[in-house]
Amino acid sequence: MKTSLALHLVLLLAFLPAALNGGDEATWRLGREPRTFTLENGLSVILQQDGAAPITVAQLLVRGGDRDDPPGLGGLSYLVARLSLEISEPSVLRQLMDLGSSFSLSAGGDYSLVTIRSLSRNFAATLSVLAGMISEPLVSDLRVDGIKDLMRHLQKMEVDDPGSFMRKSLAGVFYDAAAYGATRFGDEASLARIGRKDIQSFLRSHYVAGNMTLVVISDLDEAEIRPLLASRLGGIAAGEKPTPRPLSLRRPLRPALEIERQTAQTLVSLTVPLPELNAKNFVLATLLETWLGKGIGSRLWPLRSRGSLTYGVNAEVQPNREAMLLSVSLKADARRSAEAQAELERLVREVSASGIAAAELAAAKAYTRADFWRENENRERRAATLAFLEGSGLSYRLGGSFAQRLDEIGLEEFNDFLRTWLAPARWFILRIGPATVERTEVTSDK
Amino acid sequence: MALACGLPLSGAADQRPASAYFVLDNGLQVLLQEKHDLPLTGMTLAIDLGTKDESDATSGYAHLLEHMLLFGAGAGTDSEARLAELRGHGVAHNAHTDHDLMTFEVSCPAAESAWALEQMRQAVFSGRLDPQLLEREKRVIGEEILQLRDDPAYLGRLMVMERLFAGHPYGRPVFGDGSAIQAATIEQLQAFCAPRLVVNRCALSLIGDFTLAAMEAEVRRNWGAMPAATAPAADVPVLGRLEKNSEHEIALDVQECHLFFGWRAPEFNHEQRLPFSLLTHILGSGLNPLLGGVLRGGRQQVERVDMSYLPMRSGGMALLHVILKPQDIRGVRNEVAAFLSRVGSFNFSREDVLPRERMYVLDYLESARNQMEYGDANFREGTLNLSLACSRFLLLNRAPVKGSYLDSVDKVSSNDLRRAAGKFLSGKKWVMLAIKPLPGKQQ
Repeated sequence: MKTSLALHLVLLLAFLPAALNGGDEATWRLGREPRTFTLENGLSVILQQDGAAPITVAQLLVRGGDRDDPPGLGGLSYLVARLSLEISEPSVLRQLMDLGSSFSLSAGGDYSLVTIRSLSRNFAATLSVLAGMISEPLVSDLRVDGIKDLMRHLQKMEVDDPGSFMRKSLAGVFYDAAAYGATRFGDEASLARIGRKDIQSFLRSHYVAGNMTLVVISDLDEAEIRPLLASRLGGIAAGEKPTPRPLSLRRPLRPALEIERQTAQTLVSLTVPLPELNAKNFVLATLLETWLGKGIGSRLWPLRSRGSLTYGVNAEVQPNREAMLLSVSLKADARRSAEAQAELERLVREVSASGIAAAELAAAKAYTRADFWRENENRERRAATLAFLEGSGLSYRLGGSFAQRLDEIGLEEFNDFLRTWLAPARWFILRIGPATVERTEVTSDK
Repeated sequence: MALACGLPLSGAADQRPASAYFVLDNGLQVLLQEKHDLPLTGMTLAIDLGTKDESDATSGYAHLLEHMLLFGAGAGTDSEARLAELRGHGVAHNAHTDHDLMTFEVSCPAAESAWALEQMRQAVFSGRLDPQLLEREKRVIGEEILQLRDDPAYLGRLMVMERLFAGHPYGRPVFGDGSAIQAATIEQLQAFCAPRLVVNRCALSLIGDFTLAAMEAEVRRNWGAMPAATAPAADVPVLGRLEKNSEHEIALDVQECHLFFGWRAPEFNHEQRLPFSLLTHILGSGLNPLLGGVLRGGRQQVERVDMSYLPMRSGGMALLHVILKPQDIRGVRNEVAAFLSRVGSFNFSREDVLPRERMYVLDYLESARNQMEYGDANFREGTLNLSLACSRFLLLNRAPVKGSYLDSVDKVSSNDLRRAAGKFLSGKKWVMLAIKPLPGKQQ
């Protein structure tokens, strides 16, 4: 009897953590399960050990993106993020070059992300240099003017790239303020308005440890990394997360927009808003995105394989915290773009009305599961995924439970999702290309 | 071979991944490497068949053939059913054609490796070319060309390459001559590919979550029975120096101005390939590209600098891409010429200067070595990337293998960089192309 009780206790203890976690705490299936801890100043850390290569990637997430730019100050969050990475003096540049380390900035709607890449043997020295820059950025007129010039260049590059221009244009249509890419790099008026006080105010409110999360993937173990982070990043000022600025999705004033460009092809996109971003909806949206337009043989592939209307089709979800957008798009010879638009609409209407069959759903899940692993095979991408999940108000743990959550999606549930969110009344059509006298209105049954 | 790809042919005793290289009786080269981080396998089949094998009458055939095989029905009867079946197994696949090689790439869940390997063989070697698919793919390639021609970065690269290698097979666009493609028939395409699409002109590389013994058995079972054939060797002459500069200008509907410079560079098997690779990295990549500092130090407003190097079997291209204001084109041109005229004596390393000056000097060589070490480790994390690089290496490399890639990088000296700069860049002829915004369109 005693033996049996002891055995039960051992078994209970062995399974207790999983039982207590419940819900999202499925078996971790994306490399080794990360460890989490918080530095004394409040900076939270997610650490995944990965011994496959002697390199370290750290993604420093700072909450507060262009959705938090105050009215009239579009570009402020990007400017501040860029300022915090300005190399202050030649000796710093010399040190980083010697180490062979590099860093880059990815500024988004909900957060900014600083990526630090280093050989693991040089990680401590790299972190020392960068921590100094990030914790005490030098705000001078000369530096600020230099970054504003860079932002003017980025504004132009954004317009020159059809995909970026599409996202920027859609953000302007769907959000009730300049957010989620509408004026990520500002405009002439906002850049002229942004002054040192605005910059310092944003630094004080957002660049505090409690508003940051660090994701580290390294072959170094926790015993080495933890004291290193405490000593190098412990100097960042403590402080709490600021409250994000209220923001909501708006209904477009018109169902379509045409932007003239003198290009050989016209980009045609069909966009719908998706439900609020939570774990369930994120997995549903990813499945939909992949099934519709990711890779060869997707649901929209017949636009290419039967109609020869385009070289490739694409679907992308912009998983913004306040509201996700799904866009399906193609680029077609400007002279055939009306036909391409009509076929795109026909296919999406068919998907919305007819849904998906069980066998096709199983295939879509198999492809999406493998694609999630492919996307996160490389540690830099994996760290960015975990940071995104945290920065979007989800949890990094969704990275490990994604495959299981995908398996749990039922046929009726997914078909309901398709019917509800792809309904023609929700469509917005954007065309970027040569002016045309052809129809641009949505021909759906509205 | 495997050593040069950086894949040790040893077991797991030293914690390095287990790898194997072997050649089947029919001549197929095979490289395998275990990688167990995620349940994925990446596999690439490289074929010694590319634009170099074309003539004026068959311009674009290699790329067209790649489309036909990639999107064809394989051994089945319905290409859409085949694509759906691949997705149902979680398989992502693609293919590429360049001047030297054609590659077919597959990424799949590890449990589907054997099945995907069989599908790849059937797709490439089934011998079925569908006439309806041919007509559709001709139109799709037309769209592909239009798409690329709207992209200034791609268009600049294409136009520089055509002019840098004018009269040579590398000067042919991969997408070919529109009229040759439009006139192509199934019979002509089969006549083009039959002598070249043979297993002894191929290399297969698999990296992923499998055991070597099991995968080797699978490869031998699946691919071993394929017949070898007499493969004609593509005789592509190695290029000499460019005789004169040429400068060109076009306009697109873009906001920014793009300036490209192209130079002929060492071919894949040239002894100076590695030093030149480091040199281009130092000049135009990384945290602080040397040319970026040089150009920004002048009066020009340079927004971005990027330099790349494309080594091919019978030649190479170095390409410098600068984004700038239209009024600065002339100034940047002169600055690049002036700097390159003296780069053959540049101090790339701290070791090049007196000890008392070293603390003020940027060590470009040491920085590039460390960045390449990082880049190499980072690159190896992707099973598909790695399999693609390995299969290409197996077909392109003809030099004896001496140690690993990183060992070779460590041995490159500042003198090697100066020699490479002197031989291929300093005072050498170039092709220059400016892509300007349409008049009145720049903001």
